[in-house]
Amino acid sequence: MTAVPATPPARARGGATWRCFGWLLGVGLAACEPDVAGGPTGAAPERALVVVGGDYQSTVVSRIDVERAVSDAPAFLHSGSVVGETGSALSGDVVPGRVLDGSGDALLVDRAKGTVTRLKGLGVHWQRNVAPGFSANPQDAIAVHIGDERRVLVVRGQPDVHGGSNDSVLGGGDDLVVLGHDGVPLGRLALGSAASAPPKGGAVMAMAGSGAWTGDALWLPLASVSPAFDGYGPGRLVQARVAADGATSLGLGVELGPLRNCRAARRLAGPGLRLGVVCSGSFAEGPAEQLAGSGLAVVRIEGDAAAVERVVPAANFGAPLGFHVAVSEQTDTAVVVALGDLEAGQPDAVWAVDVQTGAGTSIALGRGAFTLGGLWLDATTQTLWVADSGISTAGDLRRFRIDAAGWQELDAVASVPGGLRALELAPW
Amino acid sequence: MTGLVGSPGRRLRLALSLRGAAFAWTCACAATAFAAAPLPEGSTHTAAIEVRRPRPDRAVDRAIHLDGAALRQHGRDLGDALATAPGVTADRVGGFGHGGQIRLRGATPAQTRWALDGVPLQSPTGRSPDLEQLPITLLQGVALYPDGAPRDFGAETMGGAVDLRTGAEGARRLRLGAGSYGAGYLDGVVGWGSPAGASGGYFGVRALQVSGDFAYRDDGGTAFDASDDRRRVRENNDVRRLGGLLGQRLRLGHWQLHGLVFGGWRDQGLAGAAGQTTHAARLGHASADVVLRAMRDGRVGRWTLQSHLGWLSEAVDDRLGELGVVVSRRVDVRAASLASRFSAAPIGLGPARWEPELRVAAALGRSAGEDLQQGRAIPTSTAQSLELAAAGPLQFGPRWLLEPRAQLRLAHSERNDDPAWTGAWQQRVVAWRALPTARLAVRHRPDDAVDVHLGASASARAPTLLELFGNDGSVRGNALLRDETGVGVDAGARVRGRALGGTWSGRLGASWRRQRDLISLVRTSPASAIWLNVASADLRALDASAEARWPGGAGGSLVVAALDARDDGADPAYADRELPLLPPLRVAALVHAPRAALGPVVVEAFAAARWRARRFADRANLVLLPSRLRVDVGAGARYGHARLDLRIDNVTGRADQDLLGFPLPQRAWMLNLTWDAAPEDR
Repeated sequence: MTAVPATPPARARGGATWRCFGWLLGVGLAACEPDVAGGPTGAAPERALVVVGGDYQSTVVSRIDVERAVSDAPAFLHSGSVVGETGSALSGDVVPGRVLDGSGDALLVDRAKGTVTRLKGLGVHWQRNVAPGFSANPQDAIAVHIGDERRVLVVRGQPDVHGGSNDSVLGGGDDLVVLGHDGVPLGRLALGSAASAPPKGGAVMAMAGSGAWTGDALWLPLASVSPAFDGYGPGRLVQARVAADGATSLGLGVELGPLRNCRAARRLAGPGLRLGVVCSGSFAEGPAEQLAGSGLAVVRIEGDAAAVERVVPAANFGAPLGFHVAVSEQTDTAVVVALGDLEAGQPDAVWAVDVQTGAGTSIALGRGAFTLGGLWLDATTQTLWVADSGISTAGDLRRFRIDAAGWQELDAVASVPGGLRALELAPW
Repeated sequence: MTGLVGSPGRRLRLALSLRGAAFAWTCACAATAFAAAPLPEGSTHTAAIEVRRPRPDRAVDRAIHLDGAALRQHGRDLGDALATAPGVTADRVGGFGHGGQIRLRGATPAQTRWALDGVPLQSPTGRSPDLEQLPITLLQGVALYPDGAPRDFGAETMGGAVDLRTGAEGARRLRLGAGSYGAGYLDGVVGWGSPAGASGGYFGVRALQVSGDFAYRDDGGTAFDASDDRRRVRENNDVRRLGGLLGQRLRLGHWQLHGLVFGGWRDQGLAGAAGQTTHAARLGHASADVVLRAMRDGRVGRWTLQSHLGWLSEAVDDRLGELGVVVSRRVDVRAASLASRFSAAPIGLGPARWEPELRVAAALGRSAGEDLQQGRAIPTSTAQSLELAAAGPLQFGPRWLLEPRAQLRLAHSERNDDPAWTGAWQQRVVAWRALPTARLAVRHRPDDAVDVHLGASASARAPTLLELFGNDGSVRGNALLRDETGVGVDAGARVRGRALGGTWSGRLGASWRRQRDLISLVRTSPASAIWLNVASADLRALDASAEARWPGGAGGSLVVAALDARDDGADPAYADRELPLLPPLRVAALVHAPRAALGPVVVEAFAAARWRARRFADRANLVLLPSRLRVDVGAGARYGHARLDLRIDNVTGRADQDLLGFPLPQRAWMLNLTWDAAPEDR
């Protein structure tokens, strides 16, 4: 395990430069080094969130104690934790993966650097480069049990067009990669062939999003986007079967009606197997076309058949939906974000959707356009956690509790007081 | 003449009315496309005017002068040569040939004005001179103005200014160099006429090629896991450059004409951030500028007409998305500016002499291009500006100078933006708005050995076309940029003298600036950065330098520069954080050994050391780049017209980076062979 240096509280460094001026008066060069103090404290909370904040230049990772609603380890890991000759350990584009294997670990996916990092406690257990020699643009990672084995499934969004990496296990790209519990690559499933063709034809990338694990398969929503991101094929959900030894195969595929650019799928509550899939529509087209291609699809899977049960169009919420969806473990509720409009000054909005009826309930507005990120519905307390990176004196983790009176906003939690605000979150 | 002899007040009123007429006429000239016409010379009313040279704002020289011979000896290129100068922060993205940026007291490149022999080099496209394409053999010296540009440079600036002094007329120099990592270059200048003559000119050229394949330690993108670290060669890091510059000065009757044509071509691989190997990503860059200046000194003053046409093309081909985003675009920027300036001859105002000046200028530019992958045209964006500036330095005897200046720029633009880089272009119109700038400075020279100055300024600047629409693979424009504004004060003192058998000079300078919407480069991925507005920033600089020279070539200099540049905005994520990439303290020392004669061979040697304090790489101040010490040494031998120099950079071989993820070469050598028709002693 690699030790991680503590985070210096940002404001404590304020005097360093003026001490440098003091050097001119003879204080000495040593005065120019910054102060370093602080760090994570306490034992791991029983229930926690891993929160990733950032500004696409730098990243901070914090641990939130869900029960106490406090930041238990603010910025315990960040882009400056390790800085080497070739950069820092974390770029500014990092998302948390999901850990469903009962290990109590956490996963981080660095999309810009192409690495997956597994955290054990507040330390780094291992780090793996899943983009050897090309920009693989990993989108998601999920740690699962397959039989008796623990595996990490990594979704990579971009192919190795150059082809220089094809000889390695991690060659190819635009796929699902199976890593062992220790990060060693075991196998991969190319997804390019499963993508639907963009309207103008030509090359296409599957660019799978964040999938739903159902015990023996990962159901992946596909963006089916052209390499220039200027065209999206019809929305599609595919079943990726994964064996413990790394063997993979493509299973069922479901067309998602008019929806395009599908980015996340989650298992819905209730009997049988149902998935909620959120699609954002095509960002390459006009607002009306994007809105028409955006929505929430409910897919029912029975045996070897999968079919779209319902499509809740984004028009119900007045704006295309974002990349996130949270689902209730008890009710037929999904939570989505309707994207705001920077030009019009329209903020994002959080909506609760009854997947049985398609009816939406407005929960809250974001602090700006494109400020709402990760979502998590805490089944224990019926509390919705929302990452809101908009500037505010309140915390960046907003909380809403559902009760008989509807959704009530609770006090927000600051993931890193005075620091970079939360973009993404996941249960720890 | 006798008709004007009367009361001083009458003379003043008369003279002022003449200036007013001349100003109005200047405006008219600008409005009518600068139709050339002589000033109304020969008027009997000119008797009240005394023409005196040098111009008042040069009477107290506030520039930091760098010796050209020393620059040529120390520097492989101009950016390298300036790196040890007071107030200068030089950042490189790679080794020799890979360029970088020069910042004066933390000012951004677009805030700094560049000139060649006083002729503005700043292209109306927004491009700063490419210091790796300018022939270093051309230089006779460099004058740095960290406190603001001299008014000869034209438009007011928010940062400092750099004047490259050639003195190349009559010079003939050729330099060949070869060095580490497949570096080779040719640099030469041939001049005609002489600086003191009625006409003269020069032609300089610089061509270089670097394979750039230096080794570095690659952590494989896994900084937490050292087990996969290994030595790698930086791939796709080659550069080829060709730059040329043609200057011609001539006198036609009462007119002094100055023409300057310069341009460059560059083809390079885009290696991207280390750890993310690229194979095919490339950048092609070409630019050309034509500057024509006509000056006429009449009895009423000096009239200057100047036009500047600029063109550049940047083509980034990363259709494999090796840098993280699939980009294959060519951007063409064309711009032109026309300016007319009238500087009246000094007018006696009691004990003072006043030299009023009026300038009108107009500029327009357009940016367009092509999406090479999709075969679609990139919509045209345009920008226009109209500028009216006035200045009136007042000289009180030989010791005091008061310099007021004011400028009002009206700017307008129509911008096309593709925010998601998907080809979904959106047009935005930024309505006409006023950008006022003003500066007031006082300079005092208590005696011939000491001069001091104090200045205050308020300024505003519209983003340049390159900041809005450029794309060189690493730096992307941002069509949503707002105008930046700032206020500041600066002060400085300089002493000169002789002691211990040598000549000594010392300088102390300080400045404070507060900027709103500072246009600043912010990294958005490991391999690319974008221009963004920083809502509020506070920059305080203090720099001191001392230089000593003795006969026989011995000498040295010491520069200490402190800079406190902070984000002063309301966003708590950045508030009170240091602005990225600006070291709070920098020390540079340069030592020349005395020349030694070994028969007909003259031998020289130097050593330079640069220490830079730690600095942050990001706005949130999380990523700390450590302090560093770099030592360069060199020795040269001169025999007649020929000179052979060997320099070794980074002699300690320390791994280093100016920008996060862009490793610099470790120890590197370069051998230079120079032939000079008129060799000069440093």
